[in-house]
Amino acid sequence: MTIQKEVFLFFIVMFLIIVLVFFLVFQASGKSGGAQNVNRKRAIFFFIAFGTVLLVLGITLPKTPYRLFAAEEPTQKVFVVARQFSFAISKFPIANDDDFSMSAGVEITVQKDELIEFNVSSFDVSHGFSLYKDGVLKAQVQAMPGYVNRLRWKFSESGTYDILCLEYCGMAHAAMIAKINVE
Amino acid sequence: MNTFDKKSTLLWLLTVLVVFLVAIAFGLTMRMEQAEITEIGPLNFYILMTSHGLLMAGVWFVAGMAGIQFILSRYVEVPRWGSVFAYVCTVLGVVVLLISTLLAKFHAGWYFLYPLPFYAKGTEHGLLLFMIALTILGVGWLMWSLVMLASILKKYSIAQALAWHHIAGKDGPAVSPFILISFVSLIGVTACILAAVVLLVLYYLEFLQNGGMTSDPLLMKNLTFFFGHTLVNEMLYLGLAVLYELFPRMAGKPDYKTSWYVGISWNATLLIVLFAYFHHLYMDFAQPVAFQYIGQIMSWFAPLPAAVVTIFSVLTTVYRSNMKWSLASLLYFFGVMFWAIGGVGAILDAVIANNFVLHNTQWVPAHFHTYNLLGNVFFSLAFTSWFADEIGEKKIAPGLVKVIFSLLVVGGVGFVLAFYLGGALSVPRRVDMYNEIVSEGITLAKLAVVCASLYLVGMIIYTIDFTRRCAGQLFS
Amino acid sequence: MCWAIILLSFFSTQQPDEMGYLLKNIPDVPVRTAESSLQPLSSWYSQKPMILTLAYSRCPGVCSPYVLQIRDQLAMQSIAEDKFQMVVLSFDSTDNAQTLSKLAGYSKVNPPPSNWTFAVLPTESREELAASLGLKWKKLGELYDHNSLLLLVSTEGKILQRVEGLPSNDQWNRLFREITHEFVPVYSTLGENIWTSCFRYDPASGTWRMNWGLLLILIPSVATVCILLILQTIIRVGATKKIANTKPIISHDPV
Repeated sequence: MTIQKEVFLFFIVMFLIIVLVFFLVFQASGKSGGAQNVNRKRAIFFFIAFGTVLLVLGITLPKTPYRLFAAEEPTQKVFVVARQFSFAISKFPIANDDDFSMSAGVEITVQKDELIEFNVSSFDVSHGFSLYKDGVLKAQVQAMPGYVNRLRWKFSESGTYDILCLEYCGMAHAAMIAKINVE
Repeated sequence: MNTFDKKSTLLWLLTVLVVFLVAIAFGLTMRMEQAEITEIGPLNFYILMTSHGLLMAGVWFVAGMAGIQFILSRYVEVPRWGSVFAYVCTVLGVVVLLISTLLAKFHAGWYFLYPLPFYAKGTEHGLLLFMIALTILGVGWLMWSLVMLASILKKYSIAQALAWHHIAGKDGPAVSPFILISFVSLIGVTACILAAVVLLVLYYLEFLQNGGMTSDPLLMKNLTFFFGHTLVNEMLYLGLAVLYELFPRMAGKPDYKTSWYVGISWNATLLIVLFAYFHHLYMDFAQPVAFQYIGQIMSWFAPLPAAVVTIFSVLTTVYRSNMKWSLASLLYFFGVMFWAIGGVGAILDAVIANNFVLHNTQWVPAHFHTYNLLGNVFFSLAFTSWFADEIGEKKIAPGLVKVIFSLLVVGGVGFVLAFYLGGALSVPRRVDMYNEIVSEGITLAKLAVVCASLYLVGMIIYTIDFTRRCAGQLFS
Repeated sequence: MCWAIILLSFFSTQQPDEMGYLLKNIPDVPVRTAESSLQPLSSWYSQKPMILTLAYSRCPGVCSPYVLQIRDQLAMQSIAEDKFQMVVLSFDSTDNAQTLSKLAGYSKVNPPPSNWTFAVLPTESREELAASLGLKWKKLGELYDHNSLLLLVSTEGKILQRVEGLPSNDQWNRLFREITHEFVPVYSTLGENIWTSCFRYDPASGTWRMNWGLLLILIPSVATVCILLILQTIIRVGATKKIANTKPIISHDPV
């Protein structure tokens, strides 16, 4: 299952729990008696929530994409530059407009399970560089002008990956697509 | 209540309702375009997107203002000119905004991420008008916030308004949660509008220099989301402040008191909110990693004080309370529920590892529509309904309460669910059409169109009924 | 003509195919050292990263200033000698360790650092190595026409950096970062007309330094606190005056 779907399922479970709690309280609003030991219950409620937050932070904070595969040596550098409204993707650096036009629209091929280092930047506005496989978003990084963001990634499946721009960059934003082949 | 407060609040609320209907229509048209029902083209789509975003952020901020101002005038003397000035600026700002987008074709999004506005060919006038619109709104809202802060400070010192004496267990004037939360929110609002001021100054400079000066895109993005995120966050708290004041009375319970933990909660919120915006920059690896971690930690701690205390208070207030349910109390109670649900969606996205595959997908509009469309809007509509009950001569028909509430809930839930599913299926946000890679988006957009229409019908009925009951008071 | 080519290669630091050689393995060819024995190149790079440059001592052109520049740059850096290996390799079979050492400005009185090695490439491995590094050389009578190369080779024998001509400061800094084996997620390429930025990335230390542009993010919060304090002061002063005028402070209790 994809991370997105796991998150969605977790969300739906929480959704149902919250609705159930509110519905039960709503049902109980007509009854008399009033709540008791509110302070104690509030304290328990708070400490459970506090503990949950600490637990989640402890589990998830180490799993950031910033230092993904940082200890390994990449086998291939791939340079990506975004520009309204296309990507240039190349195994050679893209330093100027000539380099860009040479690489724009060219599909490169990389090896499966090899560590690829994407060097992502932009020549004009902020864009997003995202890797889709069969319509599922696998990884992304922003392409911000003035910065080269390095994303290290191993493709686990062979075939064609779609690259979509995920940061609104102007009128033809939705049509900004490129492809990369994995063998 | 004096006539000025009544009439000015009524005018604010009527304006809010009308602009809200227009903004929903814009949003609905965007979803219809994505569902391939209409064909207005990308330029018009992004013009609507820009207008929809700023109108919605603005209109519900303004609704929060109306509520705060009305209740605050029961505690302290609030100068009238503040309200009038803010109203004039808001209306003028919205008009200029609509000219900048609809006529001058500005379409860089309401958060106008640097340097995109400078790259939209042929919309230089649009950019200038958009910046002027933001300036007018900013000046009006900043003045209003300062006037409100000054009004509070006339009665309480800063330390008292922040309930520090309640936290320390010392003697002092009783500060109600309303005053505390308003004060905290107004400070946040002031800070985020000042961030917008810095941002706009940089934009004006670059605009005037005509390319001779450029700014660091990372710096500009930080300022943009300091402003954008914090504004949207604080406007929700403005609605909450009013909830703290009105809700216990609706349930026939004693007023909420500012206890030590309520004091600590909102003082903590004041600080935490200022750092949570870092989560908008998770995918900018250029931002130092320490900031990213702070972003996730603050985003996860943000709901603890404010949400946990509020949710628990609301639940215990309703539990065995003999509550006579009205539209206002229903909207408050279930508004808090949807706020909690939206909050779950938000903190899931605020996990950096999840954001890696959720950032800029429909998961983002999914969660913020949940706590805006079904949370913040409900809070403000609850205040509006309560206000109508207070001043209106006619009562709302019980049947109509059920119709309006059902339409808003069913329409709203279906609408956000389409977005959540979109997020789970990697459908990107802010696109005018879905290519074959993410074609599920089209079906989901169709579902959203149906549900948004239900919501719109609910809002039209609500607005007509509100006008029928109260508009006469404006001229009485 | 020959001079023009040499000068061009000297000054153009951004050849389009410069990084096409990155992460490729270099052939582990045997080279002749001072002891006149043949040793594989890997005997230097297998233990620690190797900075490699190619030169020959009879060169009437750039070789001498080039190697001297490299020497000065390395001397300026605070990276310890045991962190990397420096190899000066000659493609001229008349060279030996002594002549090369002299080329780098060293002598018996002034010996090179312990991590410096001078070696000569045997004629039979010349073609293979030249092809893998992108070394362009041509015999012109007794001399050679060639481009100046500086390479950083990892302990796995992969080319991590390849610079034609003299490296820019930025290229030097990147090279030293690679030597310390740290992954750097971001490089800044902000242009010259940026008036400020939030952070400045310092490639030499691999850390982000806060720049004064960051103050702009702090302005809103600091200004808000100042405004609050000023408001309170004004209001308190006004209230004291009012009391002096025996006017009561207006106070409304919640309805």
